[in-house]
Amino acid sequence: MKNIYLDYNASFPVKPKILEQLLTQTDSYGNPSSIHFFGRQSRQKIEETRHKFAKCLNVTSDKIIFTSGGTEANNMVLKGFVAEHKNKGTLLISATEHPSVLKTAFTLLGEHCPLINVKKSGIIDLVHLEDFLRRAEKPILVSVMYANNETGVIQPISQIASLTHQYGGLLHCDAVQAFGKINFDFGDDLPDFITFSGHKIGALQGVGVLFSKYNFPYDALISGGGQEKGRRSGTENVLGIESLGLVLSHLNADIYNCSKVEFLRDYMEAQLVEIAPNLVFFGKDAPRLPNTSCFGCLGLAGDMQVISLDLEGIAISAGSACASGKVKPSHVLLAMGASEALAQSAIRISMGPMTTKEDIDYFLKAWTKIYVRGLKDQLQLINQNNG
Amino acid sequence: MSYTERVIDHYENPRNVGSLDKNDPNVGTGLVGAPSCGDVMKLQIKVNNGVIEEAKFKTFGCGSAIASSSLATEWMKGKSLDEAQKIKNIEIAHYLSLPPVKIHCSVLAEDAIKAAIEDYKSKNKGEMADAA
Amino acid sequence: MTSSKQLYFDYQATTPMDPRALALMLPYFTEKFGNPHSKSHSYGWESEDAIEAARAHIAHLIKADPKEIIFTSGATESNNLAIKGIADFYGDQKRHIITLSTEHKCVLDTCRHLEQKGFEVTYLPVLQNGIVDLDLLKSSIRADTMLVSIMAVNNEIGVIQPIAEIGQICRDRNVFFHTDAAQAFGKIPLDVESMQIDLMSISAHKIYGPKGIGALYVRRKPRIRLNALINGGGQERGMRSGTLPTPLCVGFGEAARLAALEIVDENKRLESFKNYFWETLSAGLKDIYLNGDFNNRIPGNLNISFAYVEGESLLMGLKDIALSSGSACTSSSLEPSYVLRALGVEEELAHTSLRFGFGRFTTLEEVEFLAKRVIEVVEKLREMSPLWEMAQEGIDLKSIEWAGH
Repeated sequence: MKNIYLDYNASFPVKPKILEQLLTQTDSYGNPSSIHFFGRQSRQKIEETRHKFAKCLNVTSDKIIFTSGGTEANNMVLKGFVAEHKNKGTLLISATEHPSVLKTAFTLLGEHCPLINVKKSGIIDLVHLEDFLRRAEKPILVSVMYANNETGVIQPISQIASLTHQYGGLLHCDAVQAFGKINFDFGDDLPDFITFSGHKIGALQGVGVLFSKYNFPYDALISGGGQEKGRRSGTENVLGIESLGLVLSHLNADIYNCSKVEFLRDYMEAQLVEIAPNLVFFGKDAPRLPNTSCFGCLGLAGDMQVISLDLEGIAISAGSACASGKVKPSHVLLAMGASEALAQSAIRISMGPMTTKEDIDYFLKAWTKIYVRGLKDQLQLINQNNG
Repeated sequence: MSYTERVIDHYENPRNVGSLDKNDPNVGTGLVGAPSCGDVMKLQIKVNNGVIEEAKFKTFGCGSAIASSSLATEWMKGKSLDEAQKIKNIEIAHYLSLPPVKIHCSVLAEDAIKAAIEDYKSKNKGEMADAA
Repeated sequence: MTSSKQLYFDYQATTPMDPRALALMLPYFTEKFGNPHSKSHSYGWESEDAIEAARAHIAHLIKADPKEIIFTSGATESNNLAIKGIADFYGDQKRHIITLSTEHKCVLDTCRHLEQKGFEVTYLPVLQNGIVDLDLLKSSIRADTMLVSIMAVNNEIGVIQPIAEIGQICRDRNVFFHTDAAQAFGKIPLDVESMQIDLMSISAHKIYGPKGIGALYVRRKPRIRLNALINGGGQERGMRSGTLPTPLCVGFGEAARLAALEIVDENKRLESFKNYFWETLSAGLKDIYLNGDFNNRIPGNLNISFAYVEGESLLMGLKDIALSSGSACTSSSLEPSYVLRALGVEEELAHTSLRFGFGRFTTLEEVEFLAKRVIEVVEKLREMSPLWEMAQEGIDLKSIEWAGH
C-alpha cells in the first residue's frame, strides 16, 4: 500500500538536510544565558536567526520575539492587550480565526463576543469591520489571519491594516499558515503584530515568532529569567530556533516550490468536479494558498472520508488538526454560510513540495471509490424507504 | 562576556604586582574600593626626587579591574607626580577598550593613583615645602 | 564530555543531550512527522502514540498517572502556568501565596506579577544552610493561603528541601503545594503521592533532554483546577494549547526513562566526585566556604566561596572551563547572587562564589584537572589580592572604613 501525505497544513516534515546540518553542530548545547563558550555559541545561533528573520520582514532585529509556537504568540498579543486595558477597549476578531485566537478571545470576553463576518468567499466583510471600528470603544485591537488553515483563503491584509489604522486601531495578523507558502504583501502598512510558526515550514516543532512593531507593549505571558528582553522568559529552544534560521535561508525557494503545486490542486479540483458535480469548494472565489483545497460533498460524512482514505494510505484531515477528533462542524465553514450538513461533509487536502501527480491520481481513485460507495448506500436507503 | 586582548594580557601577565613598605616615607599608598562592591585596589608608589621610580599594585576585583590597575602602575613609572596626577580614567578605559559596564574599573584605578599621590604628599608635607 | 574548547562544569544551567535520547527523536522529525493532534490518519496516531509513551516515562519517574502530566515549553512556563493558573482559578476565594526568597527567578517574578494584581505573597527566608524553616512555614499559613510554592532543589546551591514534610503541612492545612522540580527531577527520588505534591514543574534540558520542552504535573485526585495560560485548540486537557512538538516530547520521555534507570549509579559517581573535589580543595586552600548544606544537596552541585578572590576574575582565570558564578539567567549582571545573600552570606563573600556542576558526562580526570586549576588560579589571585594580604597580616577587614562607590 502507498503512503501519501496530504496534510501539510497540519504539520510539515523537517527537511533531512536541515536535520543533518543541525546534528553536525556539537557545541551549541550551552544555556544561551550562560557567559561561557557554550552559552555564547547558543546565543550566537539565536541572534543569527533573529537577524535573518528581521531581514525577511525588512525590520530591525529587536522587533522579533521567539516563543514556543504560534499559539503562544497569539495568546501573548490578545491576553496582553486585554490585561493592559482591563475592561476598556475593544478586541475584534474575525469569525474564521484559528482556535488559538478564537478560544482565547472567548476565554477573555465570553462565548458571545462579537465576530467580524466573512463573506461567502471566506474574505472578511470590510464594511462590517469598518462599522465595528467606527463604533468601537478605543483602544482597539483587530486580529485577522493572513491565510486560513482550513480553506487557504487569503485575506486582504494591507487593506485591513490601513482601515484599522485609519480608526486608530492596532492590527494583529496570524500569518502561521501563509508563512513559507506565499510571498507576503503587507504593502506600506505593516500590521502591529504578526505571528509565525516554525513547524509549518519545515523547521522543528516548538518554535514560534512574534513580530511586534513597537517594543512589545504588554505584560509578558511567561515571566521569569527575563529572556527575550523580558518579553518571554524561559530557556530558549536553541536547536528549534537554529532550524528556523536554516529554513529561512531557503524561504524563497520554498515559496516557489509551493507555488508549483497550484496546478496539481487545480487539476485535482477539475477532476473532482467531473466525478461529483455537486461538490462545493470552499473559498474558490477568493485568493487561496496554492496548496490547499477544502470541499464538501452532501451525503458523505467528513470523518468517514478521512478514515476510509487512511485505510488506503492517504493522510488528510477534516477541518483543522486541533479540532479534529471532535465531530463539531467547522466554525470556519459555518461562518462562510455553509449549512451544518455541508460543513460536516468537508475534508481538507493540503499538498507539499514533494506531492506528485501520481499521488493526486491515487487520491482521486481512492476518493472516487468512497464516493461511489456513498451513492450506492444512498440509493439503497431510498429504495428501502420506498419499499 | 568577552575580554579584549589587552585586558587578557594584563590579567594573565600583570605588571608590578606586589607591595612596598607602607611605612617608608618615600612610599605613598592608595587603597580604594570596598569588598562589598566587589573591587578593592591597593596602589603604591615609591618616589625619588619627585619622580615615581617604582609602582606596585594588588587588586581584588574582576579581570578589568586587575588590568586597569596593572596598566596604571606601568604608566606611572618614570613620571613625575604632576604628570602621573594627570592620568585620566578615560585613557585607561580607552586603551583597554573596556565595555560600559566595566568603566567603573578605570575610575577606581584613577582614584587609586590620586590616593597614592595624596598619601605620599601628606607624608612629605614638610619636605615639599622646603623644596619650594 | 570532551570538547576542544572548554571543559563543561555547568550542568545546572543546562546539559548536553544524551545521544540515546537524540537518536530516538530523529525519525519524528522526518519520517514520522504527523501532527499528533490529527486524529484522522496514521501519521497523527503514530505521533500521538509516541507522545503518550513519553508521557508515561515522565509520570513513572514521579509515580504519577500519565494523565496528570501536561507538556509545556519548559519549566519556566510550567511555573507560570501552575502559579498564575491556580491564582486565576481560585483567586476569588483565597488571596495569599507563600514561597521562598531563594526560588528561581521565574517563580519570584510570577509572584511579583500576582502582587501587582492584588494577591499577597510571603517570601520566606531560609536557614543558613539554605533549607526552609518548617516552623516558620507552618506559622505563615493563614486562613486565606491558597498556595505554597517551594522548589525541590535550588539551582544555585543545590540544596534539597524537605518536600515530604512540606507536603504534609500543606495537606493538613488544606493548601495547594507546588514545587519547582526543574533541578530535582531525575536527580533525586520524587513521589507525588507520598510527598503529597499537587503541582510539579519539570524541565527536559536539565536531564539530558532537548531544550524547549517541559512538563507540569497536575494532581487529578483530588482534582486541581487551573486556568490556562495559553488557549487554543484545547490540547493537554485544555490546560495548555498549541501543537505538541513530537520529537521534543520523545526526547524528553527517553531522557526520563534513562534517568530512572541510572539515577542510583549516577548519584554514586557524582557523590564521589563531589567528595573528592571538596576534599582536594579544602586541603589545598584556606578560607573557602561551601554554600548550602553539605549533606542535603544533589551530589552534582557545589557552590563555593573563595574568600579574598573576586568570582569574575576567577572565572577569567579558568577560561578553559565552562562554569558560572550562579544562575545563568542573571549571569550577565554584576550583582551578587540573591540566593547567597538569603543564606546570610555577606556581600563581600558572595562576590567570591562559583557554582561547580558535575553530570553524566563528567569524568574523574576532568574533576582532578578542575581541582588543580582552581587551586592554582585562586593562589595566583590571592597573591594579587590586597584583602588576602591584609588578612594574612592579621588586619580585620571589617575594621576598615571602606570608601564604597
